[in-house]
Amino acid sequence: MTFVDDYPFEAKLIRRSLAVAFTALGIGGLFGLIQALHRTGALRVISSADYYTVLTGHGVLLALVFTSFSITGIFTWAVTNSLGREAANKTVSRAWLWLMSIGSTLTSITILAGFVPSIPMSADVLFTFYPPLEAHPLFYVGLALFVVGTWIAGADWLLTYREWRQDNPDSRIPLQTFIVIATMLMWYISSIGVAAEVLLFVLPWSLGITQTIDPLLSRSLFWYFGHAVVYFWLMPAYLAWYTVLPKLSGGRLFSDPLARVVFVLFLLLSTPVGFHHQYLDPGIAEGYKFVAMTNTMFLLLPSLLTAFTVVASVEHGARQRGGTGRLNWLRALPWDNPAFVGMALAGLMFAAGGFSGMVNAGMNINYLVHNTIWIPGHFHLTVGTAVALTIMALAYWLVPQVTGKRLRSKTLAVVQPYLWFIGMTLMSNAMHRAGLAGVPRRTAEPQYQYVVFEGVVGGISEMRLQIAIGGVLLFTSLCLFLWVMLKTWLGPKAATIDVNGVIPEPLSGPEHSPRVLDNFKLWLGIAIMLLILVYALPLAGMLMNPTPGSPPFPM
Amino acid sequence: MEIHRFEKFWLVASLVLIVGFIATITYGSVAAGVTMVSDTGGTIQPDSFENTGFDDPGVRHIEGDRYEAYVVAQQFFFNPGSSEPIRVPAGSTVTFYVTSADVIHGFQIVDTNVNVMVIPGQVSKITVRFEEPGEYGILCNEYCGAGHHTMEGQIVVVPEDEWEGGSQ
Amino acid sequence: MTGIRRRAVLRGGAAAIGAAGIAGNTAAQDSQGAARPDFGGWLDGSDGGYLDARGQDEVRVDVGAAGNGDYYAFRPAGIWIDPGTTVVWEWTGQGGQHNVVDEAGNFESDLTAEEGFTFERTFEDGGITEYYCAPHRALGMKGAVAVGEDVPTVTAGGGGGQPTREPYQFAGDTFQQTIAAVIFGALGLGAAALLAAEGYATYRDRSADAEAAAAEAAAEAGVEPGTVPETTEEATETEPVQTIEHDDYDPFGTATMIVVYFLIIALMWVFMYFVEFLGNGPTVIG
Repeated sequence: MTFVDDYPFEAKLIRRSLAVAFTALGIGGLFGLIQALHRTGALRVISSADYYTVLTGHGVLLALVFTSFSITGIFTWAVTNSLGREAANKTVSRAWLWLMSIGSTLTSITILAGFVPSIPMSADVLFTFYPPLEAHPLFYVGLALFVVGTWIAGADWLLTYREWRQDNPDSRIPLQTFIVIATMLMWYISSIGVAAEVLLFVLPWSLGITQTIDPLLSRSLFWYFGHAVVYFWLMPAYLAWYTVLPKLSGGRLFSDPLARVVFVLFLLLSTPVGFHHQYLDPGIAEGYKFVAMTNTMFLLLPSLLTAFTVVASVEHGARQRGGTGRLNWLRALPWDNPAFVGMALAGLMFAAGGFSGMVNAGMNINYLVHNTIWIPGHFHLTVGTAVALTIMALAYWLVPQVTGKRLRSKTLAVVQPYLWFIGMTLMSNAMHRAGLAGVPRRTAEPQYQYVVFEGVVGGISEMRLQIAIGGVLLFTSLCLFLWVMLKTWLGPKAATIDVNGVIPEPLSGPEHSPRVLDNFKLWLGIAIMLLILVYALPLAGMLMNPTPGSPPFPM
Repeated sequence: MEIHRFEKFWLVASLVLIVGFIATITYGSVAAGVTMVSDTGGTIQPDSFENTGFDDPGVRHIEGDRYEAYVVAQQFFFNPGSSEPIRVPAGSTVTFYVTSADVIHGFQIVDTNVNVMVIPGQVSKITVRFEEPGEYGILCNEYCGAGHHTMEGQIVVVPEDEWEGGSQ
Repeated sequence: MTGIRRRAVLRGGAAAIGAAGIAGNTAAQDSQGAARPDFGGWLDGSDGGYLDARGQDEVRVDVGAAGNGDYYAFRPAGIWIDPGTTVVWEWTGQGGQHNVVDEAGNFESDLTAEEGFTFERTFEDGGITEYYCAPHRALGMKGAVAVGEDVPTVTAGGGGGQPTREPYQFAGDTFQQTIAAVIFGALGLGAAALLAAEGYATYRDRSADAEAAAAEAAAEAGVEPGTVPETTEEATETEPVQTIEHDDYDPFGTATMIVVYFLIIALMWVFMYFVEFLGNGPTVIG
């Protein structure tokens, strides 16, 4: 019996979540292609003013809608599967799906309306929507509904956990549910920032209830949320790497206790680092920036630990499959299994993305890279590959289980992750080098009269070529993925599927870790304390010594 | 708690790496003297620059080799910088005061480490030393509207004896 | 308030707005086929249209009319007037701050965003005067005034409206363009071929494939073929070639790879910080 037979309601929730996610992925990916071709000058099919509409759509659809709906799908599966029980309250489940869908549709409509001049509605404010740039009020309403929807999703899983806990008072929390709880608690304490920004300040200002807005305070509230959100995206990828990848490799998770430590560290450290996105902002004292820097550097630790644990688990699988030698075991891995390949390549790319992240975290070296195209180079490696490619890889393994259908077009499915990896290597390396030369991000036509860009290694033309070609390869890979999904979805229900959903016991189980790791009340308390320590003074300073307000500039 | 000895080793190595990064950054601050833009510039009314240095933007000589440059960033040009280049002499220490008249902009002198956010209501105050003559492009690297990609300027570091005051 | 939509109504609609806005001017719009001043490429790529205003004492030009992506146009951008005509530039209040600056340096208005602000000049001498708006010049906000009969003319062929922009040169030289074309072309053909093959294979084998798969699966599950299965079975777990337990396992491969990674990161960091960053010219020191 597969998941879809054991838990039909939850399987339906997951299917619907993933359907919205993949639709957003498709549209957002198309926008990305348009951007890559436009800004390099290879092919311009829209005006440069419309480029910013496309860019807003790309950011919101991919970084918000695709990621969040993938997370709700994956986490619903993880909680149901690891606790072995149905959702505690089906109404709550339906509520988050509806609320998130309505919210994201509303926001998307305001963005897409920017293409049609006769509709008096647009939101060319980009994913970060910094005031005094002003979007249509419904853009913000949609965002607020969406965020509230995610809160309800967290409540759904916590309620199910609580029921399980009542039936199992002494057991350790199963690892997958542990990860979900850590992630959602982190989400609650961080999303309060953007919710406050939107509901208390930006929305009233865009409706005309208040006349001016404090741009520095708004930015700071956004980035209070903005770094934690990338971990919100990353943790489901980690869930896949910790629990599914070892099984796909033919092995077992190397260490469950260390996995728990890693996620507790994320809960504690993901949020009190937000100022590292504002190193170059005026109005924030250098001391606060320094503290953000040290915290961010320590936030590297859980990711570095993950690298070891995950690779060790994969090695275990390779050796159980008969691999030998110091490095030769790599050949014994299932390189013809699309789910494995996607996750392995995603993990490899994350190691590279981690390095550019280390540079970004450096307080003063940030002068070199801030707002250049190095930054998108970095996050296309991390969220664009580590997260996105892992989600696609996981889909190859999960979708058969939640639909009861066999994976179709397997050849295309195997080719897809390799193509993504090649495309992203080309695009991202060129973005990093172009950023070092000073080429800016978020710019429709980075070709200037007075500004000459000189590359460190290679010329600017060649970098543009790589970005354009990389973008095309990525879009092709995306099309392959969507094709495989569509064919699988539309196929007939099968008597057997060719994946197996059993997750083996880890080599070192939770019984080898102290129980305090499962004490989320403690960790939440410490996390909140850290937040207060880091953010109370600067935010209070901004409220008491406010930046003179700005009127709206409609976009 | 049971941790494999390899992983313990890696834990220590990771912490060494992290401390190394923090130490390098601190070295940059303390020894190399790299300073972050902070709240030293103060705040300003974004819609009225009367009686501030910004009502007459440009470069002024203070004394010795110290200069001040007041730059206003707005959609979609730098004043000075866009219609005429900012001129400073070689061998000078220039304090830039940059603010915005409308939305958030960026002020980046390409091929240097001069890169700040420009927020309306705030003044970004940074001091830079220009030793050698040269020409640099300036661009806005924070999205500020439909014409963002046209927002550029120039800064020219002229030989010391050729500087004639202001931003001609 | 937010009700004001800054989004420009693009060219087709903009002409209509422009026409309605120029109250008091003659109805003469872009007259096709007639001679008009040769502005020498000054107005290429600029929105705003053209008006033959000879015979008028006064001509009004909107500053901040819809065009060039937002409200960044003079309308009409090109005008032909008689000597002694006064041109009155009137600000629309849209598109931020504008000014009117003579390219030859003879006149310059204030820089303002104020709706209703005006700047005027009476043109006595014949010739062509080129002017622009300083903040939006790069976006195409330019205008030109042709005064008198003694100006070079050209016969206007196409209608007003669609400006031509210089096609942007991608990626340098011909060699690189050829490479790009070959790669894109090959990829496109490859993708098309793959999908076509898939589609054809699916279509051709559809009934056979589904039947065969269903029959096989049905046989495995022990049910009648042709029915939709009620439940779906998972694949069986693969047995490891050799089972390795916790105490027998030391991840040597991982250790090696992670040491290499550590060294690469440390070296790259030193390079980035000391060569790229500290070696990058003037830095913020205060």
